Amino acid sequence: MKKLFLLFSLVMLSACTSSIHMSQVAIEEERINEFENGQLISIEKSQKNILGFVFDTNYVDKAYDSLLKQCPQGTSMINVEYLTNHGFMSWTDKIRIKALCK
Amino acid sequence: MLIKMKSMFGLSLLLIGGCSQLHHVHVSDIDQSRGKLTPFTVQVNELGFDAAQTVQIGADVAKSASTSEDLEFIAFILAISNFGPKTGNPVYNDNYAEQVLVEVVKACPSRKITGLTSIREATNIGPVSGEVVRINGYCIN
Amino acid sequence: MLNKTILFSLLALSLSGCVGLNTVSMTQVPAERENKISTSSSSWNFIGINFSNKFVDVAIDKLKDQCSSGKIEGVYTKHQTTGYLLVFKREVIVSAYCNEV
Repeated sequence: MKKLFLLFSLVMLSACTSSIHMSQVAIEEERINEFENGQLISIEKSQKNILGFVFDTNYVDKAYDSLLKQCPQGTSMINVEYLTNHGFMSWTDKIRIKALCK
Repeated sequence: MLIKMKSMFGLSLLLIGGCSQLHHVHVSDIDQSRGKLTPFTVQVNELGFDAAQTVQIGADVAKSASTSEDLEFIAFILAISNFGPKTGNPVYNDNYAEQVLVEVVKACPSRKITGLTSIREATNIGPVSGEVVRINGYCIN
Repeated sequence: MLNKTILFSLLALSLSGCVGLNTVSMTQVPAERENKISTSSSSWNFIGINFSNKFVDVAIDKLKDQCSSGKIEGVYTKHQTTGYLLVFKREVIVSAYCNEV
């Protein structure tokens, strides 16, 4: 009983780690205008992955399409992050894009 | 004897300390035609900790067989509870690189930036590490 | 026993010099590609123990020196590791185009 309780609490407390694989920043060569933090758009798309059984990476394309819709004139700054949130026998891959539209 | 050798080896690795790992590097265009370049660096980091590996080390150095078995079981549970691809050690906060873009803009008062290099690296000390996102660049003066 | 030792040594030697690609990245390729510049920088280590990633900054500085008054475009970056038994060589190879403005 004690071991079962320990096991349960271990599972509940431990499944919350993440790993950032890459974070890339690109900035337009011309001068960047003043901006407030609130003017940055933020997009996050994710894909749940159970034991690796996924057959596409469309969530990345969706994030990019969302960026194109929100910034029809293009971007002057962009930060792309690719990370994974770990879980019990599964994980969630995420793409986060922060950008300043022109 | 084998356990003592493993403990000695593990401890010596800890003492060496500060091992660096380079995970990802991206170099952008560099414009040196518009003025003098002043380098800047923006760095954010988070503590990375591999709990399963730590407990497994404990299982290897445990004196009694039953303690070793229990610890191995715990290491197994921790490993399957934190499943998925990892770059470096896992962290408990996935927002540590959230302000990187804002910090890069703040770094240059002239707001003219070129030559951004995005680096994902880590500094390891045993099962603990500093997971780092570093952005190097140049301000055009 | 001696045969196994010789076989293992030969196997280890044959695998020596194997290269693995860690990351690759590119920026926009420019239309003008007359002047190609390239550089590389490496860091050797024993059994994978390193204490610094400064060799990346060295590669950037060497690239900048080759195009001191122009614009470096179309940057192509490779980060790879070559293994020689117990010794490893981490390398960043960067190539780009230098266009005078």
